[in-house]
Amino acid sequence: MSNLSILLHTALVAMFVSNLPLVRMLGVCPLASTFSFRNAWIYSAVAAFVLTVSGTAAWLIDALILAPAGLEVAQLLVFMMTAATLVQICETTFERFYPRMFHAIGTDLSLLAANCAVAGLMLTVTDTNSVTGSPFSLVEAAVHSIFAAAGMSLAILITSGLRERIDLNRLPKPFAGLAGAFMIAAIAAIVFAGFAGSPALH
Amino acid sequence: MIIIAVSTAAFCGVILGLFNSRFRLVPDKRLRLVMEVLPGFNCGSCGHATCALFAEALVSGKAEHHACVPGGPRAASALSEILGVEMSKVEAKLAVIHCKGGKAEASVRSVYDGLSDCHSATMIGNGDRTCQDGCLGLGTCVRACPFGAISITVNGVAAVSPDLCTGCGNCIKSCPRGLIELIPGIHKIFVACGNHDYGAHVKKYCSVGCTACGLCVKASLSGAVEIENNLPRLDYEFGDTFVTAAHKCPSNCFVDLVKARPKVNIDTKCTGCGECLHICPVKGAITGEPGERHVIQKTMCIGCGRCLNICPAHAISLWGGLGYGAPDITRYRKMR
Repeated sequence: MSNLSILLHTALVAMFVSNLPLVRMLGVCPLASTFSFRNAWIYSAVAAFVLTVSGTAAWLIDALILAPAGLEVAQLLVFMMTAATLVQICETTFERFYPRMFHAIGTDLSLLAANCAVAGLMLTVTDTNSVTGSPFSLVEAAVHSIFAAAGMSLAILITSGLRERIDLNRLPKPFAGLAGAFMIAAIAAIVFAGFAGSPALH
Repeated sequence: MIIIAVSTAAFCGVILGLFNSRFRLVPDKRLRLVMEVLPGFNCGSCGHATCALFAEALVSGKAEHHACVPGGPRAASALSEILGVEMSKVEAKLAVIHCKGGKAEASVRSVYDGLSDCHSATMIGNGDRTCQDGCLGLGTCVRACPFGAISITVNGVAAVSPDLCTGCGNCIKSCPRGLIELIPGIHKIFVACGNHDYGAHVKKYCSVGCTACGLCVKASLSGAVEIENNLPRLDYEFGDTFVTAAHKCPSNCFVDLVKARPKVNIDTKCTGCGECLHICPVKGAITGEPGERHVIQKTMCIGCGRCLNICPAHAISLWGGLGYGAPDITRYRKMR
């Protein structure tokens, strides 16, 4: 495969085939906690930002510090701390230089720092790339992070849009609120499972 | 493993500390005090998205201290103290819904079984009510109110509870028919009809619809009521109480949120001149022969207060307080 097609495959896998919340079930809580489409836009933008930054940073830390020192056992520990630090630094920077943006996304940013989607993505980009069968290169890791983030935003927007539409109806009590949100997420997950295709066709 | 954990944590801590000492903003000390005063509903009536943004604007001098509507005069005085500015007068506002034609009063021309949202109903054949301006009763304004002040009554029409309403105005935009308006909070009387149709048409489909007969215009001596596009418009700046206008309405489409108005009383100073007899808008509320002490029929007096200043002997006074307390918004008081 040429370089470009590998990147394209990586992007599609990250966004659809192994979509973070809907296929790998990592970071499902935003699907349940975003009630309106307008909130979902803000939340998904924040999630995309955090995932892109932390995924790329994880690859760099792993390749430059952990792997040469033989400390792969401590991956998760180091990743979580660096992710939290990075997010905190971003938050301070926003507050200082982009106050309007900070007020729009401020609380969401620190909430996302400890999201399981972040941890999952960090561990994925330091593992082998399922497209090539060899470890991720820096460019592949960056592309994977960006499109995994886009996939997460897509999932949040889809479910929140559906939820906004459904909340207007008279729902039976057991299906209102959180239960309904999870059912919507489940149905969306079935749709996304279709992107992986049937093993019999390969 | 422990060494790795400790050293990573220490490293991250040092980096964050250095970064914060270099870049972190030091918040204004008054900000915390201001946030304590603000009600924290994030209603947006001050023009800022959240209370926190409004607090920042206040501290930096970009907002007025009386801009917080739900906080009212109390928040305004507290804020003016914190910010060190002179307090200005705050006028409380009250949202009213210009319709009281529920299932019992207004006729329905079709069955609507769609989303329970007024905007959806307006898009499908302009709703199920025959009246094209009336309340649809599907509760879009109920969901828009951050204070839970609006409810849909059993009669199927929206009503604002004046005790809970803060006058933030969030509901105004939510109504697809534009039936909600803010009036000065001290006035408790409003016209509960938004229909611009001709009187003869209105009578066919709503028993409490305004027919634009103009009796309320004649009833208010000050000229504070004007008929505009087949609907009376009350000018609250005139100082009129509108009690007489509300009483005279033959279709009963005014709403008085006060439970009971005070009644007048004529004491022994009365000379029997008969001035009050002529000015009283209710026939038979004041009785008495010329030269003798006149008597008020307490059940008929509406408490408009017109006779108070006309009496040359100063024998007339208002007795009894306003019926304060939560008015029954599920069934408005009958005006006549």
